[in-house]
Amino acid sequence: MVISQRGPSQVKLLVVALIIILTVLGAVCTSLLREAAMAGRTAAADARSSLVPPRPALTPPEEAYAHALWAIHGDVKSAAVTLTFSGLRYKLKEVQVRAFETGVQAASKSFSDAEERVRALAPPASLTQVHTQYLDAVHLFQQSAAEMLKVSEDGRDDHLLVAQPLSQEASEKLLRVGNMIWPGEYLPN
Amino acid sequence: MVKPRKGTKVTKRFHISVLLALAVLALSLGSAPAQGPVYSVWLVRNSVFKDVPAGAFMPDRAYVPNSTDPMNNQVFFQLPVNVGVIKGGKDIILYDTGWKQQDYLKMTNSVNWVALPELLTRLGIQAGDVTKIVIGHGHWDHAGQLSDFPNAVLYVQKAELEGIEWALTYPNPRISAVNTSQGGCARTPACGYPPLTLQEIYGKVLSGKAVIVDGTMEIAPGVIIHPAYRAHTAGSQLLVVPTTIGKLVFGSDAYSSWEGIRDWMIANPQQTDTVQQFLAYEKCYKITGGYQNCVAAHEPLSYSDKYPITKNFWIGPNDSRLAEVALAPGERTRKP
Repeated sequence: MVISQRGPSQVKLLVVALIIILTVLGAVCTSLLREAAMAGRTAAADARSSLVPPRPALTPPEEAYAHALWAIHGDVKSAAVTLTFSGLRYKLKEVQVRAFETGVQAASKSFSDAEERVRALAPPASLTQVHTQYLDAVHLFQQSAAEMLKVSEDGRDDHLLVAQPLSQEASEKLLRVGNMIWPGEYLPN
Repeated sequence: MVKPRKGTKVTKRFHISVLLALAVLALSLGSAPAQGPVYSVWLVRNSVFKDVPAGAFMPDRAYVPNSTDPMNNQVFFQLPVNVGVIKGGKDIILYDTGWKQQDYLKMTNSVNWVALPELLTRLGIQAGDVTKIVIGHGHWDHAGQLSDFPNAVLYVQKAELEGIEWALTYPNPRISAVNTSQGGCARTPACGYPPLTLQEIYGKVLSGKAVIVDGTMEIAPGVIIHPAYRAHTAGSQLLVVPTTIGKLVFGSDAYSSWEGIRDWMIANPQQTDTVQQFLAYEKCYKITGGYQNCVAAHEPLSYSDKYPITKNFWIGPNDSRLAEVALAPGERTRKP
């Protein structure tokens, strides 16, 4: 036999080497299993997200309405930001009350014009709620602007605190509409 | 033989002791990673933007069909949305706040979203405990959820607010456009700032919980905001944080990709002045002595050994990720 030809020290060396190899193999297997489990969990989570059914395409009348409203939407968002910055710059004492008033009035006029244009659109029955929601948003912005203009009448900043939640709610409504008819409105930035 | 006087012997010993003490002090000062207070830091993943075309994120890494070059053989990147959590002294500071998923704001192709307050509870922090929020810039996916932290003071760069207003009032409608197409707005200087995000910033100003930063500012001992004008947006800002592993520099989208900083490649260049982005990269090299401690907002390698400062991570709710980057002395680990 081959083993019988080796000395006892060689056999000991062989046993130690075997133990080391087995230990290393064990560690490798354990870490591989852990990695596999983690990858499995990630894959499972991704699979869950991909199970969400794709959004159905808009019908041609819905598309036409979405396009028409989109043209107005840009002006509404610009006016919303003008409103925000008028209040912000006034609060930061970067502008006087007259400049503040001019900014809010300009935004208010944009909202009125937008309301008229939105009312002129005829939404398909499936988007009546979206249409109403958009008008609600414009109304809220108008209310907010009216409240802000009271600052120039009595000089009290409290009006800004009353007005801000109205604008915030209106901003949320814009996103709700966008989620229905312009799903790619905001990209990762 | 002249017997040395007792006093001389004592003086010599004293001199040697002082020299030794000075040497030890000098050595210890030289090896210290940071002077003054050090902070504990975690990085948490608010969500993942799935399947972003590689070339859209990093032009130098655009996919080349059949390429075997690792630089160009990836079709898509999976981009995390990272938020920094910094704890020290009486402060809990957030760097960026990610974005808030709503029933009306789902973001097509985003997965694993978790509310930031929920992620913070995994670190033993309540939303009401957050004292300061530094936004690297004002885009919706970095400055969302502000109203969920009612006690936090917001730090935003003056140039960021001015830049948004400038873009939105620019006379050429092609440049001031908030909408470029129904497929999304990415390229004009006015993109990325939905009215809701701006309302939340304005809400902080109205409630007296905002500091408009004009340049550099130390917001806690050793924690310093540095402007990085136009490195992603007009008023991008970096945050330097001293820790036991040296200084960290958070960069938001000025540091969208850590590999970009390492390999000197631009990333996420939507509104970026790429020269300024490179200068922001250089700032991290100068402050930290390299690229390892530069903290990126969307690095695809985050939460792996390949991005070493994030390697000590664990899995949170909805398959989110949390990483323990550095612990201050005496701070307990949060890793389960």
